Amino acid sequence: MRGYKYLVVVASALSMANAHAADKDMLKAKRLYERMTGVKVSSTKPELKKVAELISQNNDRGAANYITTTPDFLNVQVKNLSLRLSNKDESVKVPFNDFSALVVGVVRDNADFRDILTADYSYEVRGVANDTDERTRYINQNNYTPIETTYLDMTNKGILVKNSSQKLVRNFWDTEDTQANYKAGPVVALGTNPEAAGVFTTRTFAERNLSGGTNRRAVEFSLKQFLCVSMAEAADSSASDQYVGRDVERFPAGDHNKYLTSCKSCHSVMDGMRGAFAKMEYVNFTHGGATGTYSHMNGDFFVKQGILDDYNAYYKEFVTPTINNILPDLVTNQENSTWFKARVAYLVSRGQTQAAATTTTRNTLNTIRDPAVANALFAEYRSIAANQTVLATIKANYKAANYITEYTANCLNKLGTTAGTAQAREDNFLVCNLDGKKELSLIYDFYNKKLTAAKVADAEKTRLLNKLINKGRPANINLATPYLQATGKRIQFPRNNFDSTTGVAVKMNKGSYPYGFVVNSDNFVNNATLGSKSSFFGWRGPASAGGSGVKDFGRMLSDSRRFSQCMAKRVYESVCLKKLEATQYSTLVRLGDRFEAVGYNLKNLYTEVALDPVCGVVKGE
Amino acid sequence: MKARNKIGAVIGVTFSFLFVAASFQNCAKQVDFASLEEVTLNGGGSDITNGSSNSKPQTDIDGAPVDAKQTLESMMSLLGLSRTDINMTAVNAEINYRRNLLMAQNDLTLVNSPSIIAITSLAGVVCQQAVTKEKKGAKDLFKYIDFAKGPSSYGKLGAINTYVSLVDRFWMRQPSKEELALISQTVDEYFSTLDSAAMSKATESDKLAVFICTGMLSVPDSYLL
Repeated sequence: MRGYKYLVVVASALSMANAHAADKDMLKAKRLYERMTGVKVSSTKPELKKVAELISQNNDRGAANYITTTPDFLNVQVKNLSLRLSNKDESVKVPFNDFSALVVGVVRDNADFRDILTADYSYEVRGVANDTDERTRYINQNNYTPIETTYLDMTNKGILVKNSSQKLVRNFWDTEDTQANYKAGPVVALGTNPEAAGVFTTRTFAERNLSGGTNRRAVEFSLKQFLCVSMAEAADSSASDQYVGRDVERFPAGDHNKYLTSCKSCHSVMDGMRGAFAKMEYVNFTHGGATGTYSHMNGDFFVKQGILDDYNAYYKEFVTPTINNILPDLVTNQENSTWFKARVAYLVSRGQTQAAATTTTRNTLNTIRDPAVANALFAEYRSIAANQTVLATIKANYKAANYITEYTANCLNKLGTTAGTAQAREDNFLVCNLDGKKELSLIYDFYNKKLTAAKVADAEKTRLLNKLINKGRPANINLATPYLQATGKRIQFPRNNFDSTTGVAVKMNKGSYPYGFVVNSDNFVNNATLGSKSSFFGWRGPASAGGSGVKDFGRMLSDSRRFSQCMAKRVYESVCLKKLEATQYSTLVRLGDRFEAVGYNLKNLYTEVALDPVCGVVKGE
Repeated sequence: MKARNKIGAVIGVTFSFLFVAASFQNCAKQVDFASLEEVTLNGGGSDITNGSSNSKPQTDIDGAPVDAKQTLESMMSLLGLSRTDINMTAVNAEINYRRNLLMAQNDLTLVNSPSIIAITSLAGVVCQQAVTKEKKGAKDLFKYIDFAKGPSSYGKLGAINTYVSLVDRFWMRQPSKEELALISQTVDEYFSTLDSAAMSKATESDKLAVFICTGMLSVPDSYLL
């Protein structure tokens, strides 16, 4: 009996000890899980119990590895890393995009993380609205934003889907229909990007780094985001300035020394490398007029795909006939014109009522003079004796300086000539005066007085007067494109911003300094290799001294030791939640080497960092 | 007048919750996050009751707050909510409205009054989703609250038990004596704002659950990694 009591006491003690150990394991699991995923976790989460179980088996590594397979890790921690990488401010407060999707996809699929700078594949989101419409990937980023707004799980390979190649847009039908509703075929004409290079050849990268400018921003961004090196750190005053572009001022404020001691340091490195982006552009699309539509483009692709020829053929086939035939008909026949009827029918087909569509279309018509009304006004004007006197006086003085000032020589000559009938001369003068002087013209004044006398309501009077002087009338191209849209013939093409021979973006050779480097290919050189720079960056691999195109540039960066260290630093700071200071250089090197040792697998790097004693997440590891 | 009292109590209690969480496990006194020198959240903190905080050695805070894109995810994780459990329109509207006030990075120095208000507001919306979910299906988070009846049916004990169970779930520990005293006082204050008719209304149970949940999600231990 006494033995039984002892047994109970011992069992109780063991039970309490086990419970204590289990609590400890759970707390350790919670800490590890929260740090590795960036998500607070409750005690009831099944994944946490699994982590605690592995920890209780003294398998911290297994626990950390397991965490890297959870949705929280990919959907929050890795997504945040990808968002920070995608913008210069390193903010997570940016929408999910194609750049981020590629980074997340590479991690999820356990690919070599260097692929983010060299891969020719991409990722897209399926199972969201309009996911078959390529415009949601190449013309905007609407395909990617639902990842966050509908809380999609990217560990699901049916949601974040890998595409085997990266594409570029040749042109697209400018229709309001979605691809699903557009029955005429693919809305977007795509072609394979000849120089795909991971995130460098995503729309998001182009939008943020290749828009305008001279593509130097792309170099600065790349060094900062992927090597954790600022331009100031990369600058080297002893490097050759052979590749510095024509737009860089060699005598700032008249002082060449200032260029040598200040400008040259950065530009030697930056301009040497920017050649890699020479054929890349964030290009505006056009259907003849301005559109506000942009996508990324490659000069070789533009030239070899014959996009300029396609655009010229489109313009000749659709735009020119519209301008030459449809617009004159619009002016002459107003509401009975082909243009007007097509627009109303189109708006009705888009869901507007007939009345609303007519009102909307009339708004455009209110900016276009009705020649019948104008001719009637001219006749009425001429029929009044006082006005005849005015015209006779103007005619008599058509060479007088004060009359030229008031009526312009061009219009007065139409009255002063002897060609044609008197009525034709007067009409020509009045039209010229109306077009030139608008509100100050004779006919405008006449019409204004007439409408006032007839007590026409102010709003209607304003409408009629504005119509008479074509106030707000769009340019012909901007009248042509709505018609092309209504008839399903509006296509957008990338603008020609490239040299037709070399494929180099025109902006690369801005400036006029005669001895500046002229970019005529996408070759680049690495000028950050002298002295300590070489070991600072740890350049390695076949492209370490330079290469040709952005893919080689990606190789140059990703093969460097600095790339491994930079990624290790980023992971360290997001898991350990403290800065990896400059004084911890040996830790940086060690973690960078570990990243390489695990085959550039970012999930494994997270495990390595989380278990590293310096990180302190797992005590006693 | 009652409404005003209630609002006052809600505000007071919300900040009491901040106080409660900051003081748990002898962790810290209520602090101004801008003055980091005084923050000692990781075991090196001072006991607020003995008034000796300034004489104790200061230590760094071990951890950092969740950032703007981790806040909502953390709240949903703590409450065990998935995308199918929530009204995405309502939650997205709130997170879009508040995101710019949330911490841009995992950096404690970025926690300030606007960010705390943003977290509290977001927590309110997320907790409402949790209550709605529990009212539809099996009860888990709020098993001590009867949503079919008013607070009088389960009383103060139901509220305190809810708090205790959530402490265990969110923070994996038991509440301290000080915390229990404070939550008891908080619930008393809350109930004092309700008349007998309100105490019998089922809708008041929803509000009570959201209130407790929001307070707990808004304190540092629920957003410090």
